Amino acid sequence: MEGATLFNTVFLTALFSSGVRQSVPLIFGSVGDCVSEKSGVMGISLEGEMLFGAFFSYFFALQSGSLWFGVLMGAAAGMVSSMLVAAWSVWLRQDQSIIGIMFNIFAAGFTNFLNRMIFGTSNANISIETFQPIPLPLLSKIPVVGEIFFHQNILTYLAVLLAVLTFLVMRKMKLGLQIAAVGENPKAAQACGISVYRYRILCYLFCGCMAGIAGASLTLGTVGTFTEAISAGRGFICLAIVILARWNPLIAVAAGFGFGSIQALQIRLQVQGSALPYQFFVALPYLITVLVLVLAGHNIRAPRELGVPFERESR
Amino acid sequence: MTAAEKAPLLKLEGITKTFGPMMANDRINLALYGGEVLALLGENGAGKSTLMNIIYGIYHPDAGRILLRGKEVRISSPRDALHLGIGMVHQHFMLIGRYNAVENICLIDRSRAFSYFDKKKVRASLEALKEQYGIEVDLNCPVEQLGISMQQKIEILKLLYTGADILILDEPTAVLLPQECEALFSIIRNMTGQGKGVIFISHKLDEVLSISDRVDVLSHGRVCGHMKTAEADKNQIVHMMSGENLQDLASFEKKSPSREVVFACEGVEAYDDRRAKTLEGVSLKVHKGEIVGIAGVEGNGQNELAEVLSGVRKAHAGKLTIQGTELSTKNPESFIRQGIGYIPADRNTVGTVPDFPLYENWLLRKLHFPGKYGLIDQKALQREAGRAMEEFDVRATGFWARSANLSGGNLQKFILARELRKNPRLLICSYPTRGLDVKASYFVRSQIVAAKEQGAGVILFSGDLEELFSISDRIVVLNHGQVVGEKLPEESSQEEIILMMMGEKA
Repeated sequence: MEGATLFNTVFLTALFSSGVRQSVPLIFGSVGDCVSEKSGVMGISLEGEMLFGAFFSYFFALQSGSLWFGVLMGAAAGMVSSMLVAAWSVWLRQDQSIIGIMFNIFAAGFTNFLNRMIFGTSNANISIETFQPIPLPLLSKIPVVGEIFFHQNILTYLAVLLAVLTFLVMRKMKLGLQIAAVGENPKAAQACGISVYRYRILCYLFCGCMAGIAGASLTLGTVGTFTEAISAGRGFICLAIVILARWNPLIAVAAGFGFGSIQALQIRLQVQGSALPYQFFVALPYLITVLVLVLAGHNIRAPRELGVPFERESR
Repeated sequence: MTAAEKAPLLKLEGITKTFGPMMANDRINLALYGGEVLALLGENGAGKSTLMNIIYGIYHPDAGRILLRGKEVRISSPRDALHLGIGMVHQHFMLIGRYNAVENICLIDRSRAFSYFDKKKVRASLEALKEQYGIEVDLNCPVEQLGISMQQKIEILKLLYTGADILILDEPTAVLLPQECEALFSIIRNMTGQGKGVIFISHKLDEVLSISDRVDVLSHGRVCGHMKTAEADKNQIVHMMSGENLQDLASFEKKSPSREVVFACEGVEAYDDRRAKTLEGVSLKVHKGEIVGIAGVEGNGQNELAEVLSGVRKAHAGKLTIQGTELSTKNPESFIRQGIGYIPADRNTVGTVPDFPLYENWLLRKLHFPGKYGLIDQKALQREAGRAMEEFDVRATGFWARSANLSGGNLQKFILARELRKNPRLLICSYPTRGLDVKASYFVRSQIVAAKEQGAGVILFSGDLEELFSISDRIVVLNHGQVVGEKLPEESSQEEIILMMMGEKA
């Protein structure tokens, strides 16, 4: 029987190890969005910024031969492109959802354009060598768990580290308290001497930077090349993760791992060969996202002024 | 040693601020000395709040100078103001609802953003301040779960924590009960005793006379008078503020109501938003041409009763009848259809939609609108709203003004106009003059009296006993969701009503 051989230790180890790899862009993206949403700005444009990060990190890594330079440029590309959205939605007080959606459409088209202009129409782009797994001393020796969690590339460790740091800043530092105040009640925050615009824009740039690294982790961490629409809706899954995680970066890591594992499972189910068309499995993670939001999404209290533009001299 | 002999702590020279065509502040000069309370009086929209927001750096003046201890300063944000030792308690509190007092106050201190948020240290210094100024508050509970007077104390604690020596209190007593006001005043006296200067804004003349050292009166954006409190008298101040005499603003003729019952409710029971039972069988009768005043300590079921009677809240049990026909409590529409007018306590968000222009707000609580084939005739609607606004003296830039930009008094007049234009059989007024100045309050009361004289029955919920005594024909006292007694104003006294409000059966 096929089913009997499916769920053995070797399979599960490979599955969850792949799940961890799949979760890396989700963790970067959702940790960035946690911060930005806490300050009251929705990261709808995460998807587009991720695409920019993916393309430019690949391009610069290829040109320079340095993966780290690629990651840096990916982060910069995410940040620069988020500047546009930030200026529009915070400063000019336009509707965040509309700006975000428009930006995503623009990013999809523009990265395609760049890709074809630079690399031609052939699908077989030049592959680069991705970040190699670094087994952590001692920890990677633990059976099963070591193989799954501590035999990963450097970006995976970086994602978790950044999530923990973000958690500490948001919970234990005055900065975190101030950011959350801006998202809860910007008028009161202003009366406490906090510059609402500055905080919102900086938080959003942080989110863009994280989205850029998320994109880089796709091209330089797993795939090794840029393909059209490589982010494939991961930016939106990040938004769902943030809600499920109740704006807590640490829970976002766990939720990211959950979604990553579903993605890994989906790929394996496709390969198994079944009567169902492969599109069903591709759609599976998104279907589960919707289901989970419906089932677990009740009783959630979002930052009160999330998505509401702030006007300084309003009455 | 009188305050005037020292150099002023804060001095304003020629402050001017315009909003579009409106002159909110016109060349205002003002001085505040250490150790004194300066009361700032003026009608709604006289420019007091604008001026305070300028001092606190939220608005930027178009012209004028601000001098702090003799030196000119530029205050471009609240951050600057706080650094210069200026603190403000806003009319609408500036607290983060989810945070407790410690977290709220921590936001304002001068520690760096990238520093460990030291709850223990802040808590310790807050405990010391509580002790020093005699302020009793809960530091651990999220502030949204605290009562309004508690929230205010946290705001004051916040100012003291920053070490500000210029304190601005914008209508601090508007939301307080008489006993709570006394506690606030003793805190204020403690603060001036430490050499701090306090600017106190209020509409209530008696309070101003009892707490302040000097009074400045603002009218139409200008300072139109200043005096020492010791030499001031009520009539003079009212005259300065509004150009009217106090006697003309306080007396009403009472016509006795008819015998015909226009509205009755029996055994009304209802739950509040937290699903606690707050009405335990209230029965009430209103006659034609009668004002029934409802007195009670806040939170004894008045809000729920007003909402049930106006159809906004579903009754759990009980029967409502208007001129003999029973009302269906299924939807609020049938209440409007039966001619029940409602003036909600929260005029800013329940009475109107803040982002709508006035003429669109005019449509709310209306079953018929001008127009054909289900399309609204905008022009006719605007004319209708404009005419009523003129008749009720609603001062706004026009019927296209957003209702959020109206002052409290003007907005209340607008809502009153909307309800009274429909000639209601029953009018329910919930705290109609809360936060309004003397003249606007008088206008609102006289319109309510006029509606009664035209034969409407009126139920008036109010926290202001003087108001209840001056216009109601009968006062019903509510306690713990039950009617505990009923008095005629001419046969009772405020003291007696207060005792009943506290729960003593009459």
